[in-house]
Amino acid sequence: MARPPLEDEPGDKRREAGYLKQFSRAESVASIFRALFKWGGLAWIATQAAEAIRYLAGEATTADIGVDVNLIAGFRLSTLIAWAVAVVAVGYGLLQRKLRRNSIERLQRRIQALEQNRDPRRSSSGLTPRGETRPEDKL
Amino acid sequence: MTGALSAAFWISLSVGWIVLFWFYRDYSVDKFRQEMFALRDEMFDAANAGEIPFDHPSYRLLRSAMNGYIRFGHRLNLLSILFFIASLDEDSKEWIEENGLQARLDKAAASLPENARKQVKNYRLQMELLVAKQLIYGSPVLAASIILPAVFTMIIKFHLVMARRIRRHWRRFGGAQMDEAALAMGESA
Repeated sequence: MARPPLEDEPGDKRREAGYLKQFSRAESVASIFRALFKWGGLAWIATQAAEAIRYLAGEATTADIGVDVNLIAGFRLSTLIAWAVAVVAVGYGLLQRKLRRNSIERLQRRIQALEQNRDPRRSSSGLTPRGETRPEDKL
Repeated sequence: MTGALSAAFWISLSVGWIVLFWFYRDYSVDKFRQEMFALRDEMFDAANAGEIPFDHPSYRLLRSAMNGYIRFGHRLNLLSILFFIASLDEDSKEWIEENGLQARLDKAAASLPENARKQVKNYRLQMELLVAKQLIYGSPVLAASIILPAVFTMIIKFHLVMARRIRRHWRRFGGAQMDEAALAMGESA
């Protein structure tokens, strides 16, 4: 007689493995479209920027500078300050992220051990100790 | 002046593009994982307080699904889901409907006391809302539109009834299939 299924018995494993493969395939196709949009957009913006810089290096700039030197200088200074603030903000964000990951790494082992005491069958997310995607899970 | 402004505009736009498609995307994945971890911790605390047994199948299933979402949070996006659902045949969709996470959870939760059953249902609702939220906020294009994420936030914050409706549509749209993939991923971790 066939064994009655356990209540927590996982569904059809082969089917689940099939869905995982199918999802990975779908994700691969989607990632091609995403990459095209992401990199294509950046490339298009870069060509526009290059065009603008070429224009800036040409005759129009010389004519414009004569109009109001103070205005240009003010514009350049404010742009410089804005860029400096943006760079500092991004750097600050990256440092904070590093700090957060250090904290995760420091705390996760202890939490895992404490939770394991209460639930010996405790399952894990499978992320790295720093809470990052495992290299083999990256596309 | 026009040339200088134009150059500054395009360079700023390229930086904005990088921030949106690289930094923001990483941030949104980290945020999603953090929120899913918090939900998983909340469920652990409930089990620790004796409200749901640790070894109950519904607890294990839900935890595995949460683990799966945490693990493949970086792959969660609308386009992948659309391709995934399109790649499933009718038989697979039917199988998921009959044997997927929802069906298994319903079956498992039947043996729980009323209060615990409600809790399991609530954790599942929250898990699905987090996933739906990530699909909107995690997409740089949708996030940049601002309006859609703002409307979604308002619905979730002020209208839980609407949130339940979203969940129903989400299940029809492909939530059940996503849950199944997450569960499989969580169980294989």
